[in-house]
Amino acid sequence: MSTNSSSAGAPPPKTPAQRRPPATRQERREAARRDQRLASARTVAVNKPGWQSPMALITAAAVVVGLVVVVLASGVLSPKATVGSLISPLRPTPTSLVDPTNPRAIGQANAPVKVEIWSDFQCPACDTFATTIEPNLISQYVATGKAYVVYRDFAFIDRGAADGESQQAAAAARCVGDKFWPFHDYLFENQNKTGENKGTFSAAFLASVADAVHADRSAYDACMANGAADMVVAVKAETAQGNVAGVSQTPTIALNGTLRQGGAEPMTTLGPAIDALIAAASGSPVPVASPVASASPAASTAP
Amino acid sequence: MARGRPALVLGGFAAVGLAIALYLSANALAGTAPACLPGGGCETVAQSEYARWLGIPVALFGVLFSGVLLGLIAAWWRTGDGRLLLVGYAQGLVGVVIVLYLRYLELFVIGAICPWCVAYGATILFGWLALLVVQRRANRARDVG
Repeated sequence: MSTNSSSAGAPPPKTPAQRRPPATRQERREAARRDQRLASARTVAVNKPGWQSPMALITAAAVVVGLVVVVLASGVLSPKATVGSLISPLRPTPTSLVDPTNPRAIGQANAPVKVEIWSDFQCPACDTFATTIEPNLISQYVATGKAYVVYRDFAFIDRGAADGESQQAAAAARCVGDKFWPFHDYLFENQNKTGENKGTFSAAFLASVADAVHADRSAYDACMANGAADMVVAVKAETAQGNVAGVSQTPTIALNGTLRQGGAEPMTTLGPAIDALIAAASGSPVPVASPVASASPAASTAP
Repeated sequence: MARGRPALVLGGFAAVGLAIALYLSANALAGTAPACLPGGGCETVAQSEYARWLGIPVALFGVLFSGVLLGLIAAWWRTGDGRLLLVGYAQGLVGVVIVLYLRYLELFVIGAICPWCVAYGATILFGWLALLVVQRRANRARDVG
């Protein structure tokens, strides 16, 4: 029968013009089935909701992936410093370099360059300087005997309130005695990244840091009693000296008493400036109270 | 569909983004501040805690992101494989969501705007919009063909 030839193997699709009318009953049936299949396929395509299209699904999946990344990032990017969950400093200051005569200084006091860092423990740029630039400064210049680094309080972010977080943090750092630098490292590492004066440096938090650095707790508590009034006075006095010296922002670096432009100055400019002073000193160490230093009160405020 | 001009536009956005991300990464790794642009704020943003994710400069993720996108566009231009365009579209949308989050951080958390970061975000956003247009045109061309 001729119907065998039409059912055996699939002929290539023909355009409507090429189609001849079905001659046999079987051909008519097959044509009807084919039309029905095409019609139902068209109906499915038309009725399929837009949100089921591959493009829509990919779009939704991409948005979800993006949101997951954001959620993960927001959790990782903004760690909250809370009591009992302190973050350890990544690059702690070597305590072997601490000046035994001044716990807030590191290096040899007769080094050719004296680097003073005017800072506020609440200041984000001071955090950047302390955690990323200072370790390089210490390893390149302090450990090699070329520079003597002194930390200076310029506690202004709490607007000078005696119970403000800048005053209290600076006072607490003085109250830990020879643990100043580890305390300093912990404070910056655990600084509140979402804002200042938000209660992060509470008395309980500062006490937990004192414990973390193994400070003499009874001495610390005695020092911090009554709002650390004595220490706050000292912090305020040093901040006032910074004001007189011309410090207006933190961090501000002074090299041999000369203030540099404020901000977290990178080693790419700070290093050459120190090198120049070393070269100027012609290899002979410059006294701590040098003529250059005495030109600015900032250099004559060693505690 | 001719791919030359669309690939040039898409590749242009990705290449500019890659260049900005490389510049910001170089600064982040060297510990220097990006060059000042009108509006300032780059130093503040670059020195904020949000400039690093898991200890890695965020700009480095931008290098990876734009580099992969550029590779996808180049591969699509050479092969014409529509799936590459689709992957690029999806990646671009993930990037748009992240870029919007980073702009939120700048505006409402850090309180400073970094023009370099804004420019990078613009390459991601407009690159994705361009990808959307090219993707639709490619779909239409396929349907007609």
